[in-house]
Amino acid sequence: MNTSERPGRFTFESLSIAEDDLQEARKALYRSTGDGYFVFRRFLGEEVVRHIRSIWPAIDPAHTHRLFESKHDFFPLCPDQYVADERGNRSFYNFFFNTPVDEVTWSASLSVQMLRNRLSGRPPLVETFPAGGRCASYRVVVTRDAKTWIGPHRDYLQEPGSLDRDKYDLTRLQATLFLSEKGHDYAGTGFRFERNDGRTVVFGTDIPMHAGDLVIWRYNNLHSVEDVSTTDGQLGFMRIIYPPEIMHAGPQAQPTAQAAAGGGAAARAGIAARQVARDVLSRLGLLETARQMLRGRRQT
Amino acid sequence: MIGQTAIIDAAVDHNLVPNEYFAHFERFGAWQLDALKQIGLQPHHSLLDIGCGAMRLGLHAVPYLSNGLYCGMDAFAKYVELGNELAHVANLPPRYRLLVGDDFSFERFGVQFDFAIAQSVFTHLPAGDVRRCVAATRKVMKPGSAFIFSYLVGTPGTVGFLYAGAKPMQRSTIESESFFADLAREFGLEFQKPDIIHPTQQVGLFRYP
Repeated sequence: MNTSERPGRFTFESLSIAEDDLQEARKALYRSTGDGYFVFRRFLGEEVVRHIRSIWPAIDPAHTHRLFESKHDFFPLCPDQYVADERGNRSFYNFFFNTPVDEVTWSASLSVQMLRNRLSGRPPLVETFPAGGRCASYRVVVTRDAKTWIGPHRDYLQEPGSLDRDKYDLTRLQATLFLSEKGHDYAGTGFRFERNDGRTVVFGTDIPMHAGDLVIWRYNNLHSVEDVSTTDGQLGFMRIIYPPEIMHAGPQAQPTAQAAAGGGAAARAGIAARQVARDVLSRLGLLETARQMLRGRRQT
Repeated sequence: MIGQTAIIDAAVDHNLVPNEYFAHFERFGAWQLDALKQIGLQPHHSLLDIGCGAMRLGLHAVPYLSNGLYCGMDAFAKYVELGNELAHVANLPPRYRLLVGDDFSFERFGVQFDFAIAQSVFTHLPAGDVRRCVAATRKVMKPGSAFIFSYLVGTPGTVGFLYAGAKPMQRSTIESESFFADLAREFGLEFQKPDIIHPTQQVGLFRYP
């Protein structure tokens, strides 16, 4: 029985996305003459699309997610969160570091995240785990009835020329994994996007989109989701987007006692020191002020 | 000057993304030339640009060095290819030479230099390589010449990294400015802190007796 694979069959390089394979999409995304978006047709096969479409509209989020209140509640190891309204619109803010509600969505989303990262010149798994200032979520959104879901805006372009990469970053890309089809699942406009040449396109109208198609697009470009309607029996505009969320300080940002036990004396000492600091600040009535300062520091 | 859109388009044609290097290309190129002028660079001088990238400084320096010479070396071949292209687009006079290399073999230019610069280079090298780089400059710098560089002090959270998501590199782990003073002593140089402000890093200067 062989105990080793032939050399080169599985390697770090062969399991990575090759630079040369990214060039065509990068030109479409970043060149002034490019579209500002690139469509990966049938990124998900039919079986996977069927599966994901069957999971999210059916789950009771009260059992799987915590109610979303504020993005300040996004912190390392925070629970997945949801919002729902009386019109049937639902958003699930899922993080890769949590046990997934659906392993298929989670796995597919990790692939999207790796592709998006590599296209934007980043390591494949950056901002996937809460190791830095931001951590991507895979937000499953089902819009059934909305005049303006999110108005026209640009991201990472608040202060052109700024050295703060949160305010000016020309590499940033967003991804929309389509899980429904205009006409069949919803009516109206949906995802509107301004190309690099300033012309506006609507996905599903100007650019045919099918469930399972993935669009990766330039975050700096003007974009919106608007005017979506459904009739009874229609799923809605269902997609997954991948916002790199700011990770705030939170109660679970600290290592657990169990992790500390595995992490050795230094980690245990760190936890003890933080507990003492929290107690002292709390007694002085300064705990919330200190947390706000910490949040501010992490945002800058 | 070439505009930002043309620079980014050219970069993308070389499969490079418009990261902060290209987003602030003009600004930092201008800063570099200004810093060199502040330490005495004049149009007749020879200039060594260590980590020249895609001619960020070169696009400013070559026209300025009307009777001089600009030589740039970078370890990232794609940047050097792009630099040659941008130099062509900018219609630069042929007073520049570019080489790809990560071994600090500056003697390949066959030039003795009046000035050298390493902008955001020592921030991307382990201490041993910084030492090798300074040692290599000793062979190519004229008496009375100067070498200006930017640096950061301290160990970053991520030491090893993938530049542009693809090229393995290391960040600097220099713990104190005394590192540069020690290098100066070792190689018979003078280490100074010039009165020049860098937008994000610190600035040091070696003078060659």
